[in-house]
Amino acid sequence: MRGGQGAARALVLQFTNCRILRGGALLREDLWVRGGRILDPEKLFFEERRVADEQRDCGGCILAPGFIDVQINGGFGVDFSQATEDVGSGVALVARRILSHGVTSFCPTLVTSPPEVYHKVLPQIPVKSGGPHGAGVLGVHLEGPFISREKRGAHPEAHLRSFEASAFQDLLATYGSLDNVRIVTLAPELDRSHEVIQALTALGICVSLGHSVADLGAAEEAVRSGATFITHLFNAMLPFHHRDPGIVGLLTSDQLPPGRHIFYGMIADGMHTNPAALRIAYRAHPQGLVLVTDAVPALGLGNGRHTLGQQEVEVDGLTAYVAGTKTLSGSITPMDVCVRHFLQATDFVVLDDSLHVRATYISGELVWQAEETRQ
Amino acid sequence: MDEYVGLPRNHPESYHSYMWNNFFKHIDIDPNNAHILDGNATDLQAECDAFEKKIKEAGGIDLFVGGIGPDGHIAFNEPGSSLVSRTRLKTLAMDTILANAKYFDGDLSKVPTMALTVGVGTVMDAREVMILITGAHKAFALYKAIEEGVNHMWTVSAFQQHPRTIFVCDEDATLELRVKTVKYFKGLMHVHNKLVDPLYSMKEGN
Repeated sequence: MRGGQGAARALVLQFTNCRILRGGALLREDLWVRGGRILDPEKLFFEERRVADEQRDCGGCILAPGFIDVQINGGFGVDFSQATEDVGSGVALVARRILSHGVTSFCPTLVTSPPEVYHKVLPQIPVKSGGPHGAGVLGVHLEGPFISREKRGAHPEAHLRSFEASAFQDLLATYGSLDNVRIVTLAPELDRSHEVIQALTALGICVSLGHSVADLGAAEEAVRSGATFITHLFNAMLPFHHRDPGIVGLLTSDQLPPGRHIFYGMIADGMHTNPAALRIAYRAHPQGLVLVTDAVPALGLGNGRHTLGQQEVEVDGLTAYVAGTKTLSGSITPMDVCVRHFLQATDFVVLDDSLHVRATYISGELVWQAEETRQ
Repeated sequence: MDEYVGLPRNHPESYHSYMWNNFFKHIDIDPNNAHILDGNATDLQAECDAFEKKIKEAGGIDLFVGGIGPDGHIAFNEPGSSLVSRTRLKTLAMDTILANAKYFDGDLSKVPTMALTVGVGTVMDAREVMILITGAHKAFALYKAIEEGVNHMWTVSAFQQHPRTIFVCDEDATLELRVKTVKYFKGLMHVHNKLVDPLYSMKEGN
């Protein structure tokens, strides 16, 4: 059934001379859009007997779905984990700047912070549709504080928490409100985590396993309770061991609920994971792979010191470390660079296009364009 | 010229899909000028009659383009069809169903058994007809169509009585024809070239 009268009257846009991704292959096909939604041109032709109102020549480029970044801690000097008076402006700035990386939706991520920070920041990051102003906000990703001490990585030890007396109530008290929250990363080996996972899942919040020393059994139980995601696979978890694969084993586990499979974030910046490890994960479970940037406020800025929540981060070239240590602290690699790294690592045959972002569209509207393509 | 009965319009093997993917989406035709029989119409015969009416209202068919089946059918005018038939509902022959099975995952039970089709008479009314015949598997049908008589068991043979029909073939399709027939038609190209371009035939050294 087509949309209401209004939708039917909207302009029909036909993107021609392009390749689109369909069924896992790049096909030489036109993309049709009306009222911000992708249209079936065959249906338009035979049922409505209409043609396109406007055609746009894509110069032989690839038309890819907009990238979605579900783990990004800030960028361009903005730190989502800082409790400022005007968090909204910071989010808006990042939302606008990542358009040039091809990202059209994202989950602003907060690292382990004291409760005051969550109480102040969360209400200021509402879910928002994307447009010319910037990428859409899908909801906040809360990474911590309910994580493992041993695998905290760059998260500050002082603010880690466990589910003490009242499990889910503890979580609610820590975060304040879950209204704008979309993903929570936690360590399932924490006592009573399963109640919490079930409660969060019932609220429609995605539970992700990460910063954890859980073994495979504990991880599988967490998935049965509702967990569906793994935060930056390989990093901040026990390494794969052939007698206990740990969280990594979820990729090939046969103990998951029938019909369900796990998704896993991967930081393909060339630093966090060796390409060989990336290939092993991809070949074991290609449908579950999700590229994330885990970008920090230093994204888009040069070398030097920046903050990340309660920590100081030192950027040196392509890597970000907790200041004074060799502990990796997120990444400063834009999403489109991650995509290119991933392609190189997994050896696709890329047709005559080097996957550089030329233009970004949201709901069929041009929201960013590279300099050389401007008329 | 035809459409399966009972197959959803957006099924990848429907003739609506075929025409969209192979023709309509590549050109700038006005959708109102594209008419395909609806195999899901509530009254199939009325749908066929309406199609005949639309052809008449458009002033008749100027050019009919088609292929043939291995059983010598034109559109879905299966062996035994009346040579003066009009657009109607036809049951498909086993030969046709077997030939189509490869488009339905090799599962015979998934292949439609009925179709709406223009009649032999409908096509004979066209001012010009062009039939494309390629491949060795069509060779016997081509032989029956042009070297034997007009016969309702090989319905495309009806075009022997059409004033302006051209059959376009490749080498393999001529495998069952007499050498003399093939030589005659191949020789025509040479004569044609001489007539249309004196300069060209001079270059050929004739």
